[in-house]
Amino acid sequence: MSAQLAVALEAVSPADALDADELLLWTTMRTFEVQASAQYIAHAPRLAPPKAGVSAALLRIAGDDRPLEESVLAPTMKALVGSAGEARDEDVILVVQGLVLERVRQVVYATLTGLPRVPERSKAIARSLEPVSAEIMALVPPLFAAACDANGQKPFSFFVEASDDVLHKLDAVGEGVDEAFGPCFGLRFADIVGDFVADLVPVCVGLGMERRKVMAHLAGALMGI
Amino acid sequence: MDMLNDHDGICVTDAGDRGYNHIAISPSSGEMGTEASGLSVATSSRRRPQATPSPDAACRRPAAEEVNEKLSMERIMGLAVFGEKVAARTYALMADLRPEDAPLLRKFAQMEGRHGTWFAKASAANGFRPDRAFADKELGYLIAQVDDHHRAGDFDALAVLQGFIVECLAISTYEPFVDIARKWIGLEEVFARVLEEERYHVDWVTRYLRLRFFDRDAEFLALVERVNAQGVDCVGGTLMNITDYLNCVGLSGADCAGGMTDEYLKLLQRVGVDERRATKNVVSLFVPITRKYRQGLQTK
Repeated sequence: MSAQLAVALEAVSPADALDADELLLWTTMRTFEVQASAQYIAHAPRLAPPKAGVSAALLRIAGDDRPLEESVLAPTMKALVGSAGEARDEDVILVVQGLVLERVRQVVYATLTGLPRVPERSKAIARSLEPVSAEIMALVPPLFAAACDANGQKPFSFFVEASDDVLHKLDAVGEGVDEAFGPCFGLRFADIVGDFVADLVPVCVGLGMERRKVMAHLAGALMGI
Repeated sequence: MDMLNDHDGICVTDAGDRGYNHIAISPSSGEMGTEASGLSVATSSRRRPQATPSPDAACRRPAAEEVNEKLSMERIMGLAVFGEKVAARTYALMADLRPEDAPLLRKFAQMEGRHGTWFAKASAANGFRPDRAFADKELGYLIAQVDDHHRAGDFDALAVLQGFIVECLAISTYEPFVDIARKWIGLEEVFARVLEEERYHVDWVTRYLRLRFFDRDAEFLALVERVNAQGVDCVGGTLMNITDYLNCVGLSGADCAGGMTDEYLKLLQRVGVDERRATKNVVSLFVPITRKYRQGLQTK
């Protein structure tokens, strides 16, 4: 665990320091993070080190599943995490987690730190987790390029094939995010997607994909087709 | 039939002081004529297109089983024919605001009017009756925005809305249409020619905006974000509303949406907007309308 994360977590101990909205937020992100960490350890060990300590830390502050299970987010988050968890192959995990979901987490953390209505203790946690996601994202492009070379696959077709389902599932979470975190924190899924696409597209272009095709793939996912 | 016969085209000499409905189209022949509306700009700005009474067809998104090629083509061509009329009117209104470029902008207006004529003739040749009620519903919100910008004397906003956003919708749908249109009489030729001319309009608008906002990127970004808020919602919403029809005739609505976004981002970048910021702004505005599409709702 990074020193920054340790300090941030000290500020929220004991667990009841978080209000109900924050508990739902961190239960949701903990579910997301624990699944990713477990997947890295089991199937993509090169991506695992930066996440060391993250799962344990988030379990300590939001270890109870009930806030998420009782929320509007439960079915879509379950579907999203389930879809991501189906990947067992490191190359697919590079896309599902490395290019897509790690970027979503990074954008969520960055967004939370800039929202005035988010309590400072949650901002501190988000601030400490953002560089973890960023570190993993930086590892991914060369690994993805090498995987495409090794498998003789074109980057765009591989990206589409591996990311299609998880992007659909991600988009389905949007309404729940707006309902659960819009009124309390001012978090808008549209802003998250805007930042996510704005960050992802240049990375994909750098990997040899055509921007227009990437935009079409993302548009299709957003439209559910 | 020569679909590109210019002699059947409309003459938009000063459409800035005429309403949307001053150009009439005969559904049977596909030919356009003009009606003397005598509307002033102030009056036309409060006017909405007159919809043919078929509210049911115009207000809901048909279920998948109701979408067939004829319905799809009639709605797509309705939007093409009447959308080109709106474009003609918009360029004429722009001419009204910028006397130094008025002759060229009126020429653009005439070109757009001719596109409507060509599309109408090609529709008639193929037995398609352009769906005016559908087009009216789609175009009303756009016309209201155009009128607001014109009333405010805001030429730059009109340049972004018409020259970039609307033209990007046209280009992103016409371009793939060229490839699939050969199964219909004359449409391949019409789409190819119209596409070429729309690109010419976009080139001029791009050059204008580059000069106008040279070294003033922040001001241009502020303009774009202001126009986008309604413009992307409106034009992107129309794209969502025709997606099922595009899919039905052999195109991909998602590819068209991606193409429109990519085309628009390229234009913004050419004028100096940072790619990341432009992407975030445009995509964020697309998310609510794509959600409506996914839910089976009309976006307007």
